[in-house]
Amino acid sequence: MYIVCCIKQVPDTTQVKIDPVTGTLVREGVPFIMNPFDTHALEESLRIKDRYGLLRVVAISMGPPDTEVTLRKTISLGADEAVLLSDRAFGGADTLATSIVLAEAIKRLAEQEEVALVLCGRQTIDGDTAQVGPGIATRLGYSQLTMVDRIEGIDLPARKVRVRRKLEGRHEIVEAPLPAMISVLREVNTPRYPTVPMRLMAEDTAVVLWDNKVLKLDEETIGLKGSATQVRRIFSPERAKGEILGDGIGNPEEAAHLLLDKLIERDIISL
Amino acid sequence: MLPSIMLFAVVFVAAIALFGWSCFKRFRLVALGRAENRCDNVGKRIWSMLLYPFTQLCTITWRYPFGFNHAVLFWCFIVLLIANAEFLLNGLFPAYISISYLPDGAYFTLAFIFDIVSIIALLAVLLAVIRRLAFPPANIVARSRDAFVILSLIAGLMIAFFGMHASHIAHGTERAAAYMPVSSLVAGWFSGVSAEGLVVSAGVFWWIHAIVLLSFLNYLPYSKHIHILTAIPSCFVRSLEKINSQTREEFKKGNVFGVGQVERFTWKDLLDSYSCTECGRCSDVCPATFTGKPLNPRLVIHDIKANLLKNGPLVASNREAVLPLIGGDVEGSISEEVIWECTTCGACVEVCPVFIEHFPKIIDMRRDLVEMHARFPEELLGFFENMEQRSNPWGIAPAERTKWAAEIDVKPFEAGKTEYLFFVGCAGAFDARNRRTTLALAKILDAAGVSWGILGKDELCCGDSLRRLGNEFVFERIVKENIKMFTERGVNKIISHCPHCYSTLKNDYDQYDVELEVIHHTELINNLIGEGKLNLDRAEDLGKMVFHDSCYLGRHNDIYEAPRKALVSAIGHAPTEMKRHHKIGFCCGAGGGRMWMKNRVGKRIDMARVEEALKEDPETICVCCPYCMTMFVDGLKDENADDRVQVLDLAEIVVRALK
Amino acid sequence: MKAWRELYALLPRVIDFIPRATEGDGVDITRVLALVVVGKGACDAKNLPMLEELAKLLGGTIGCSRRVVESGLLPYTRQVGQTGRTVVPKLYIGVAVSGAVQHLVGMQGADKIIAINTDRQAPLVQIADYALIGDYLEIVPRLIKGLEERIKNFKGSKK
Repeated sequence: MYIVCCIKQVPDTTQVKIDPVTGTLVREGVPFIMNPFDTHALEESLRIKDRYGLLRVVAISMGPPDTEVTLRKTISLGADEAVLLSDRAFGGADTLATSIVLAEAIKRLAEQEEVALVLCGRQTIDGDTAQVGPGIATRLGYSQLTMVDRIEGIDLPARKVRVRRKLEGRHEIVEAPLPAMISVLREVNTPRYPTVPMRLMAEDTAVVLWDNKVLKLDEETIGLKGSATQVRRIFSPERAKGEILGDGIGNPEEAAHLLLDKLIERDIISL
Repeated sequence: MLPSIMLFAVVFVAAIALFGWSCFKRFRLVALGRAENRCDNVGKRIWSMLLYPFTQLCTITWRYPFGFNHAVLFWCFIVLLIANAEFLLNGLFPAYISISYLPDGAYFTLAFIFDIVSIIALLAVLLAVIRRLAFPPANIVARSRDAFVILSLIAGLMIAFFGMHASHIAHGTERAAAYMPVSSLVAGWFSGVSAEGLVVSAGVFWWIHAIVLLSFLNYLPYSKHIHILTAIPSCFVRSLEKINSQTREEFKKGNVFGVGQVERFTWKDLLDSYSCTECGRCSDVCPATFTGKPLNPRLVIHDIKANLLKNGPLVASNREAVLPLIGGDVEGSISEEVIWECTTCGACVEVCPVFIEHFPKIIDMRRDLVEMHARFPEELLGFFENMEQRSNPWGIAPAERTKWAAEIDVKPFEAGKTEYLFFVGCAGAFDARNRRTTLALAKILDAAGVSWGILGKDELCCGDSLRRLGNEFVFERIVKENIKMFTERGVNKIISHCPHCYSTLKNDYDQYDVELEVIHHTELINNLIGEGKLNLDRAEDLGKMVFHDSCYLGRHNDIYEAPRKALVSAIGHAPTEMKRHHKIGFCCGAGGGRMWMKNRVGKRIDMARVEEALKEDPETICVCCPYCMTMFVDGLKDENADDRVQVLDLAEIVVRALK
Repeated sequence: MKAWRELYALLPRVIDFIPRATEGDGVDITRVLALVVVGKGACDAKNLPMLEELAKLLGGTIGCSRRVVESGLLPYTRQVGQTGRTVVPKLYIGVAVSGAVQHLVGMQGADKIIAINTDRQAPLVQIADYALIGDYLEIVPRLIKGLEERIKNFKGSKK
């Protein structure tokens, strides 16, 4: 039985700067990392495998060829297999096109072996949409369990899973039949650290490559062509340089009033 | 004299055989350890082997004056070695071997020496017993059965010696009687005994002497007194270099990393565990032990020995070990929390009289935990991830590395044009307080006209904490990246104001294929002052100045005087020393990766050192290390002393003195 | 009917609903629009009511830095920072907060950042939109008075 874990390799967004002239992202020299939410999804997959036995963890990722590095990391942590979905036709995809490709890949895996669970991180730190997990679930007709901060239990013989979802001000316990897509929050677990023997073993392990010749998807439905949305512009909110108001030591009265004036003038507080 | 030479011969042979077998059983376990070359530079090693034991330099120190008693006992022992050898051989071949067959001059001299030395030995033993009973120091196990057995045996030996010779003198059969004052005195107590009685008593004391001697010999392998066999070889195989680095590992599939089982230690490590005399000096100076942590270096060494004795025979015959080296709470098993408490300050190694290397063994065990099992305190997970992804401990975007230089003019390092790379280090670049040190040093370098440049946002962490925490894999990765960068940019000379970066770049990087000349800012400043390149006035009055030795500068790299000399130039007088300074300076608590860990048990080490500093009533504390700086600043704040005491780096003090 | 029941079995169903237990003192600082954050320099039980008053006038609540939690003045649920909560209020006022990097990562997403500090070089002052350099004991009471006055005048003018 498979647990499929969806991974995305993303630029380390804290290091991405906005080009002051063009207003676009400066991606050069920015290293890539595994999307932090996905590290938790992978860890949860591995914990399920550790706890229940008979399940194998397959990490899949859609991305350019160098995504192989991140998939190899999943093997060093304990994933049994890794599949890279890479093709020119997949490039430029929005969440719709991405869901289609990932769903097809999972369908193929399900032909080899029963897929019990699909684990995703809640969102990526570059897109922040949180749409791909639900997109995959819808396309495959799997149970959709989002915002999960704890997997309460899996009943494999009965093919049921019970999870705890974190909502505003409350928790929900939800039970659903397998196969299920579960998207997890960061608080679901603390990811493990790879041991050196595992890292060395991962260096030798093959990452399977599936391009569109394998998935055979209609090119109009995937990649840039298949995207229903388009990113027009990415910009960071303007943060002007700060100023020191008045002379807080010599004349605190005046300084306090200056601040209040500014806050009201700028509509930060309103009476 | 003897009832039967035959009987003694049998006893003698049996005793020697038993002794030989005991030694074999013990020492073959040492051979289970991994190979290590400790036979290079033989000349220097032989000199060590002669110098240290025979002058007893290690045992007699200012801090441990009672070591003198040990020295006395040792010298007596050496002399009596001859006496006892004669005794045994005389017992086997009385017709051929005896000191009485020597010419009278020699005979009488030896008799005198043996007599006097025996009483000195006896008095030394008595003193040792009284000390253990009446005023034991905290760092030894005073009332140990082992110690009392040994002392009793030695005392017994001396008493038997006197009994024997006194009997002969009383009987009139001792030619050298006039030259044996103590024995003659004792002979006076035998005045009422008949001649036959004296013959009997001589025989009895002779046998007592023989039995005690042979028993002592056979007790040795099972006691800490085995150090009389291992101490001199320990001096031979000691590390000729300072212990400021660790060995590399080969990262190949199938290899085992770190030490998770006792046989993964090297033979030198295992021999160390036998050599330990249980003197407890290491735990006396250990900052972790001092502040109530479970780490006690003496016990770590003891546990290694206990584990070897338990598992060794099993492993040697290809059976499964029964006692885990790491994790247990029993004798012979070292718990994980003990392993993580070490700051790698090196005080233990510095004071050990038999050259045991304590903390490298702890790092070896850390390697097992981190590399083989990924088991470490949870707060280190963030640290390791940050280092792997962003090449700095805090996980701050590398582009921020130049923020410290925002207000000043700083040049990038250019191959061929710039002489020194100023390796800013992570603390010096990201930490608000330590940025001021970086700026101060930049000012000094400019004032002295030094040609320097920086790597800017391409700079990576030196990797020090990674190696000391046992994450050798990521350390090696970062070292190779650094070396590639240094080579590509033509970096040969490096200045650093962090002793950890300094020590790592100097000593650890030396194990890789690169030639680097690394200098610490205290050395550089001292040199520049000496060369007249810095014009100094006396610094504005900083009040009473206390100096704190950084472990990685002092003990690890022998730099004690340079910062002090520079201070004198800057403030006009020598700084006040804390009680523990120079070689036994007390750690600030941040080394060994402890900077990134939580304090879980006992007192904070930095608080202990701050209290020690405050005892001197300082107005300024001078440090030379960003870790020490952080520890002192935090510690003073928590002691509510930060309004009356300031902490300054040497560079900041020198800047104030610049004309 | 059977089809509906079969379909029903295929859907996830909620089987329990747990109101989230209140931790600390029950206040969730990540859900307020205005946050007055108490730093080590203002860590004083005597002056806390004054800062709470300011927060209340602004329609928000009190948060604090790690050192204040360690000193025991406020519970950890009020802690802003790397090991506490990440907050994105519309208005963040740091009172005697130095702004060490572990704190900044927990609040740098705030819309407007105000710093009240005696140290011009403090990191929080460096990134603040507006900073008042001075003693908070002098400044905050005047802010409170100024706000109350303006509220009174505004209400008065509305009549």
